[in-house]
Amino acid sequence: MTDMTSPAGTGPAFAVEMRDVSKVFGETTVLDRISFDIRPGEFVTFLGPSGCGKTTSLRILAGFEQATSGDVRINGQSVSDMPPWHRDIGIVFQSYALFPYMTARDNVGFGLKMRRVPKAEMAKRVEEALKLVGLSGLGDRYPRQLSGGQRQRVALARALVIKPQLLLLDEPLSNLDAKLRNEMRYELKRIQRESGITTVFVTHDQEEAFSLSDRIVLMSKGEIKQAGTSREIWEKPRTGFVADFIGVDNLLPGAVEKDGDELVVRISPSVTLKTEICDFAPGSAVLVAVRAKDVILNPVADETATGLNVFAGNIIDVEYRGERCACRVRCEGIDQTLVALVASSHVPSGAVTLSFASDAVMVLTDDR
Amino acid sequence: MADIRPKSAKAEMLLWSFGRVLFGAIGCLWLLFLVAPLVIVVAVSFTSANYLMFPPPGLSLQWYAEVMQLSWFRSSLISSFLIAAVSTAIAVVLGVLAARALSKRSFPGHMLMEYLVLSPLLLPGVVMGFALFNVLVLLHMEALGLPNLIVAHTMITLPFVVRSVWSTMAGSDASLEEAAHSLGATPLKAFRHVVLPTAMPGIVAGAILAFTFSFNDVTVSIFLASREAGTLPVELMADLEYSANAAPAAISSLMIVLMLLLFMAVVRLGGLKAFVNH
Amino acid sequence: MTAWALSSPAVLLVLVVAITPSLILLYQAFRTPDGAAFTLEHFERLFNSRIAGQAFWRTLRVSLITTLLTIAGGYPLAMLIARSRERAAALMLGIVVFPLMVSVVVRAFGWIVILGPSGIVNQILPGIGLITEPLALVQNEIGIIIGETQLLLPYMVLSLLAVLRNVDPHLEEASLSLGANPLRTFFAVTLPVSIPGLLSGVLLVFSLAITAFATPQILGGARSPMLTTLLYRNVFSTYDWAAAAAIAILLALLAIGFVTLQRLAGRLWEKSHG
Repeated sequence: MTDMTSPAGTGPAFAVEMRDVSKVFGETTVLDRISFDIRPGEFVTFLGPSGCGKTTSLRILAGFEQATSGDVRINGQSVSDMPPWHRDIGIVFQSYALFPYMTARDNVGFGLKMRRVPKAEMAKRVEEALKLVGLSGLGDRYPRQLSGGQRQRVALARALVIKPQLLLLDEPLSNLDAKLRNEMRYELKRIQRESGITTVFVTHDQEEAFSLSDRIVLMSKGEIKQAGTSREIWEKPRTGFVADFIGVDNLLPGAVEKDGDELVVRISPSVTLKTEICDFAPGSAVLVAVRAKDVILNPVADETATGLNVFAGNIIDVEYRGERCACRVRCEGIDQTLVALVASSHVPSGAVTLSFASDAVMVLTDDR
Repeated sequence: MADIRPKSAKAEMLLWSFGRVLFGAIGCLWLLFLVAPLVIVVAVSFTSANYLMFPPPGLSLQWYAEVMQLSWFRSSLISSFLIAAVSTAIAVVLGVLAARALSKRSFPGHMLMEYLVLSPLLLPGVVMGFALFNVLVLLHMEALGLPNLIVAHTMITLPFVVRSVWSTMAGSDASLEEAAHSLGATPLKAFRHVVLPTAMPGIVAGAILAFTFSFNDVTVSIFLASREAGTLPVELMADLEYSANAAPAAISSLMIVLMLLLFMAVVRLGGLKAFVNH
Repeated sequence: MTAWALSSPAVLLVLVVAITPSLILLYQAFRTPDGAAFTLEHFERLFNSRIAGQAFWRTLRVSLITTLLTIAGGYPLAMLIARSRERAAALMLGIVVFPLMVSVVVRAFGWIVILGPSGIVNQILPGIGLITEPLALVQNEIGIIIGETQLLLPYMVLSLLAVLRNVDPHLEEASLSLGANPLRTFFAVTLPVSIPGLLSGVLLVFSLAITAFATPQILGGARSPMLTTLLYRNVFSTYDWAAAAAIAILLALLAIGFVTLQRLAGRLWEKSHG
């Protein structure tokens, strides 16, 4: 998952530019000064819990909503005074929104008909689009005669056939069952690569986002919390919200303190954690994040353990997660229980010693 | 990349936002059209003038006081209440039983029974009224008035009760009744303690609709009303031809207020669903 | 059969009070004045009568225009309600539905106050110099059409709303994004999906318009008889009961025809669109 290079050409540097975009409905601010750029051909995902503003961003790009303030540019042109029907944007909705009284072929051809494309060319392009999504031969079926996955493909073909400047996908996979979802995920990626269309994908499912995207925009409460490649977000969550959202098991609120030349985080009256990197001044309230996989469990109770980030504790619960098991450990002096991953073949029990390296301790703002 | 924006885009955008406002305004005008006759009637009922004029030169309650002295108003109001109450009560009993029968899944003649019970809705009111009047004249019973009206109103309001009750019975969980049987309830007890209470909202809504329909009916009643037993809408309609004062407006306003109270009761009971699933 | 036992009181009532009188009326419509033989003379007389002919065409004309007007009002209202948030939608729906509960006599009287010779319109318009002569807005077809449109618009709105409420709101947005402007979107997407509701609404409104009585009686007056008011006049003014019976049969046939058509259309649509 690295950046895709922009296709050669003299086009604008960015397919989409959002500058300080805000959206206010009555009293509630749905988007709060969002700024973000998307390169041509990029597959970008807006990820976040419901109500985070991701769908509103998509609707602003599509032209269904107007930004309250800020500037949106598509291929270098400001679109604030451009109605949806002139924007050349393909959209796939969660509900697919296929026209029920039209065949798959007519659905796919709708955009071309509106553009007054000659009949012969239209027929050719529709067949191509149906072939691209693997539905050749099903053009005469009505939506109600198609399976969920097939409807999804028709919706995708309908959005792609107009060769849009931008493809918007609004949770297109969430109405499919698990197996079909994985299959469509792969298909979506293939089709997007083949067509090279700049794509914005909206989802609340992080697995989908991580497996599909060139870049992810993680949003919460109308703000962008972090934008970057899947790897960047996974490895270096920038805030407590991000760490929480991507599923870091151990999140401990604390305060930064000075300990000699070093900064440590006090998480309880008796316990401080040592860390490698801390960008906060002493006294700041922070959130400490430690991945369960970075926590080492020593099956021997070591009463003399006194080193930094080493704690004696008791296993209170074991959760089977396939190859690994998640052990929940209650440690002395820490209110919260800590989670550690161990190989399922060697699950300890009872009293243990728990430790983690200082570079495994991420100190983040608590913005959950 | 070339500018793909058509020259008209900005104008279309303006037209679009203007169009949405215009669309809302058109909708509001139609809403105004729907309530206009009701609002106006209430407004002119408070006039202090001796004849209908707009805007009223002054406000007064004189027409309400006047109306209370009208003997035809008092007697027809009592008749209408009596007819609506009695016919609704009978229609509810008959309707609940019929709805109970119709809500059983399938039996021979289900379709026939449905058509029969709902058939009073099928025939135009004037036809129904004339047909009844015709028979009553043949039987020399046309002067009976009140009992005729009660029987006729029971018949025309029956479908409202049946439909309302049937839809709540069809929507309720059949396993409730089965559970009651499994707990030892006899069919009669199950009906009394399980079926009836769950269908109650539908029964009450149906009863209110039936009462309303009976209270408001002119088309059938105008054929059956005698001099002694005239219903309020029939008498009001006759009065409209003669009076140019605000007495009808005051009577109409009272009727509107009564219906508003019943309407709010229906809304409380089942939201507006009773109407939407029409 | 317990089901028939339960419904027997209701069925008996309907058989005695609705079905039997209707059949007697049917019998009388085809009977010679002396009661001896079968005849079509009442219908012949009806079809040859100038007044009845006028009433027949007036009924169709008024009902057709009324239906078109309810379509014109039904779409904006139904679309507005379907798209509004819950509270606004409930409020608008309440305003649409409440008039149904108010007596038709009261509503027709309201229109007389507004449209009558000394009504609001005829007092305001000359006042601002728009007209010099009072407009004849009641005691004619205009009055009947306005009154019946107000009477029947709620039914059209409810019919359209039943369909539009269940339509995916993204359908119109998909169409917009594919390059169809709002007007083309309406004709290419909204109108086709609402056809079942439109169809049932049109049939319902048209049949109710044909059979409406009090509204044309009050707003149409003696000079503009419709089939229903002509029937009433034949019963109580001219005492021509045979002709009244013939009109009643005609009205009943029209009403039953439309209801059957409505059921048939609904079933056909369901069959072809699952």
